[in-house]
Amino acid sequence: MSQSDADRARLDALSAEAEIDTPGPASTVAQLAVAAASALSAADSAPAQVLASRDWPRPGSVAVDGTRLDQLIDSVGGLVAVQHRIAALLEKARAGASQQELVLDVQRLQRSCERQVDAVRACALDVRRVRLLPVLDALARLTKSLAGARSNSLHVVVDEAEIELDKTIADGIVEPLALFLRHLVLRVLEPDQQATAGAAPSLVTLALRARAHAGQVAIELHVTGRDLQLATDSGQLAQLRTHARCLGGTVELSHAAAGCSVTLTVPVTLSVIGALLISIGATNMALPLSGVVEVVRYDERALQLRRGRPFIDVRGVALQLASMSEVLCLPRAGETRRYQHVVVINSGTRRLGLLIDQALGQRPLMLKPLGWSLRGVSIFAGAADLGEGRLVLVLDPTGLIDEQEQAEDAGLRATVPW
Amino acid sequence: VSHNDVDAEFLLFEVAGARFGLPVASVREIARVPNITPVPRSPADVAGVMLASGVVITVIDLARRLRLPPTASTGRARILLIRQRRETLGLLVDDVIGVRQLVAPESALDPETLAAPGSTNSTGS
Repeated sequence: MSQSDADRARLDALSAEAEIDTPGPASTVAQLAVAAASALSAADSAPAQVLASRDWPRPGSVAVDGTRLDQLIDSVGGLVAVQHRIAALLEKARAGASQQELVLDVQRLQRSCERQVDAVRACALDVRRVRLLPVLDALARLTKSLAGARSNSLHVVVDEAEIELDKTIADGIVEPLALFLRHLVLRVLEPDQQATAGAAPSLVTLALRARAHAGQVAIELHVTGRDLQLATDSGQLAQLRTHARCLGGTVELSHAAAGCSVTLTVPVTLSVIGALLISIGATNMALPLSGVVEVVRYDERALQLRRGRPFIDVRGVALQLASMSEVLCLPRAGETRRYQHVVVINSGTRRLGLLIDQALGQRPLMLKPLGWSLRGVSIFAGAADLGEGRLVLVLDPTGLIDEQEQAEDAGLRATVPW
Repeated sequence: VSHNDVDAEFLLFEVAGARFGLPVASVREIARVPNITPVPRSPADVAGVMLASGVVITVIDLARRLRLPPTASTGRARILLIRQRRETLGLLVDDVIGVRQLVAPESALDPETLAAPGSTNSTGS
């Protein structure tokens, strides 16, 4: 069962559709900025003026296109009309209308309600967008202030093309970025071991670059003029990564001759994703289609063992397998059970086959992050509402592949991390 | 000098036959037990996740958290949504008794120490 390109394109189109998540506990950039700034003030090198609130963007005031507001009011009017029709329908039901008639009425009402809700949602999304530039500018000013007396040897540039992103995402990246920049600046301004004593310190350039592409925004912190081994600062990076994952994003590190950079990629909106629903025993879960290559039928006879690890051959290429019930530590639901499908997932160039009971089909889902207390369970990207308050957990292909590799490095099978 | 624990209002509830209290101000909402989706590999005291006002909330089974024996479901069980610094958590309790003014209650729970499921007393599954 290979997933056709047409299906993929259709779902990609669906996931590009704008939709927003219900905002969580109110947190504005300003509030987070205060939190970040107070954390920063604890650093001995942080001068007090860093705390000046005027340095921070105030996304509390959002510029809204007037025509959008008109559309919003129109849609609210439409919802009020739906409300009246529900009241009328209730009267009709009480008056003893036939069930067949009522079902037809409810169907019509449901369709028009869906249209109105979609319209309101689209407007709300638009209204919630904030500009990224003021956020980056504020971070650049903060970085400069952190350098203190040595700011002359630090050049900070902001390079961004008119990017707008959902307020929740903008709020979510400020604090982790501020803390990471603080760490970066302290590292950058450490006395250079290789420099000759007495020589003027070399000029270091820190570029904050942002680019939007395919519903994602990549924010790159690029350092030139100083050879940094950022890979060794795993603690700081891991923190940034945890925050990114909560927003459905990733963090990548790259070293090149021209310097090194850390790139934080987050979605522009907390959006609808195309997802593949799968079953593992009695448990149903979802996988984002963006990380699914294809679904193949599982044939036990094709299973090979290489150095004790299970592989199958998919069109001439050996693919490593991981049993999802083992990965999830689920109890075995009867030994007679047969695996039917293998979902091939990818993260960059890495691939892994997930052995599952069954692929149930595709459906668009609105991805919502899991709470802070579950951040340790890195194999999940979040959860999504299946309707009537039922949640389905959404797996994170990158997290699954990372974990598999780590388990191999440690010479262990994937097991419970605590 | 302020004494927060004197004459403060507490929400009293029952877990495994024992009474506990939480400062009223920390409780955002009392909800009926909805569909709770178990989260594989989460700490042992996490009952799962639920949806409240469009947000995914982690639900802590307070009996497991407090290492008390589980009680049979009576239909009176409730979820207390409590506000914390990092997130809103759901606490699964057997019954809600009501709000009382208490002077220095002995088994009042500190909402913030409930913040980290599995941090100290969970052994995992």
